[in-house]
Amino acid sequence: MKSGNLHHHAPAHPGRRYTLLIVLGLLAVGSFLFALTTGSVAIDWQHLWQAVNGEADGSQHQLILELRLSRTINAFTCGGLLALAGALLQVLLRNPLADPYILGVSGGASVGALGAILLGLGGLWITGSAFFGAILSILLVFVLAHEHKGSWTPTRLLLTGVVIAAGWGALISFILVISPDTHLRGMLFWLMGDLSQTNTSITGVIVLLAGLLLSLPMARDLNVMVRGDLRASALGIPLNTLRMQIYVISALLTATAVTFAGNIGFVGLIIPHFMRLLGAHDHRILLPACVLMGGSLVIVADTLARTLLAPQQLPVGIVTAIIGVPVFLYLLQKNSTR
Amino acid sequence: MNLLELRNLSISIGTKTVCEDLSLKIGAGQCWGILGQNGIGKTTLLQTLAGLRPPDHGEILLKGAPLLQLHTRMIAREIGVLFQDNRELFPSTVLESALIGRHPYLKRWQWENQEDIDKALRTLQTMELDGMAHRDVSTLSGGEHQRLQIATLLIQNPNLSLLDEPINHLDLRHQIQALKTLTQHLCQPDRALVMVLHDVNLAARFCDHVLLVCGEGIINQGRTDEILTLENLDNLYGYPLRQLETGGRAVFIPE
Repeated sequence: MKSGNLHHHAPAHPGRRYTLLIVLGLLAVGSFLFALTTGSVAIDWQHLWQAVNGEADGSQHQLILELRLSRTINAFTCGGLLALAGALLQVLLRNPLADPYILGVSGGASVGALGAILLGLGGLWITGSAFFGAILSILLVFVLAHEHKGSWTPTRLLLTGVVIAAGWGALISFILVISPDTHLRGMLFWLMGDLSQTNTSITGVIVLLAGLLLSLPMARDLNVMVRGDLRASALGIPLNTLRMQIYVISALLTATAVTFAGNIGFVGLIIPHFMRLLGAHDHRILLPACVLMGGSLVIVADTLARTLLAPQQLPVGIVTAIIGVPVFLYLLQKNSTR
Repeated sequence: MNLLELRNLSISIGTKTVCEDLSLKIGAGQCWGILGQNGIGKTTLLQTLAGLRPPDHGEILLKGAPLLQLHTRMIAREIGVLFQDNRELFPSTVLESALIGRHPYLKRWQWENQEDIDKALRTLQTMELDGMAHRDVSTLSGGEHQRLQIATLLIQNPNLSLLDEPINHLDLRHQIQALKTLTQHLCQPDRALVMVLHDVNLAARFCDHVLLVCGEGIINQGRTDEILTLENLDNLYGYPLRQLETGGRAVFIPE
């Protein structure tokens, strides 16, 4: 291979470094526009333009646009939170099969939320107890996974998380079985992911931004960490501190996502893989790429979820899987035959 | 000057003693070979020297400063380690993997610059990996992967290199080339090299000092020509060897 050719492909070449992020940024903008203009009441570009310019005419269109905007922001935030958490947890557990729910965070949140629904509580109570359940699960795994010397290994953390998650799973089934039929539908929607709440979750946006800003400074450390604990230590990575930071950040990201949108499967597992298949191996690119792609996927999925069988709304988790599974399998096939 | 100094070092794994009260000076310009049976504790000893594992007793000094009190990042600029288990679980190109060697030198927000990349490409060329820079590491053969690890260490360019079986998976020609490259780059007047080897003859050829890990805490160390004797090697491996002379060099072969 000619050396000139090598330089052209160099990953850290300033011109090429951000190409993927720019493309994904445009994709995110595109999915926002798609979500805002699509629905039972079609909104044309003219109305959208007027709204963007602040020329509000107080019409029905204006109202619908506001509702759609906050729902779209929630969808993006949720997808970004899950994909970022997934990317971080895959490094922490050094397991490409890890997803944000693997450590039982969503199980804890689900038990909290379903418990609140069972008791007939609504709105803020569901959110509050879901968050409480998530935090409880985080603390449980955190304390139980510690070894005598105060450090933990990925395997032990993974096993503890999986067992705690299984415990929550049993509790979820128990609540579903003893619940009256009137509550079941709401519970199932919550379990499969539901973005139909109307208020923009400012907390979600803040947590997503904070999570990204806190994880970007450690992104190059993650590049070293995926190559094994010993190698990372030998290259100067403070392993225990870094593990702790990743655990806390990814757990809070997941807890926030689950709390305001229920369980949206698939995003946290597949988006980081998808980005790696596209060549984003470097976590300095991978982490923001996951946020943009995860957000875009959930926006599109949620738009389809509310329009495909309108007026019937589908849980968004079903749609993320229906879109994601074939796309991912296709990429995997293409990649392995290359 | 001593790069690394061990004072009364004791290391054990469970009930097994690797070394007891070991004192050792690794001076600049020296190339050490560590020999011993499987599972005797060579890797543990090497990891202790790298500061990755605290010893039971004793002190390790890096250029006169207590090793375990130094900042890990500072240690990484002085000491480079090549491990036996190098499997990569996540996708990465050969070049990306090699550039990991630059990590200890870069500031938090700093990216590898064109100079780093050019240097990495040249090092890959030295290890006969040019043309593979953009291949995924999972497509490499065992030997190619081992050469990538050596290239990464050359890019890290440490003053003290600790290598655990650096010629694993390499064919005969690449074994010699790798050892020549390693000793040439990493064993200069201000540097030192320590490597675990299983080939007595390669140790005799490339190392000026050897350390025999004999088990039960017994260590035999010194200049290669004094230590690598038929009697010592018989004891070390618990198997009889024969010594031949060829081209002015002593060669050991198993009976």
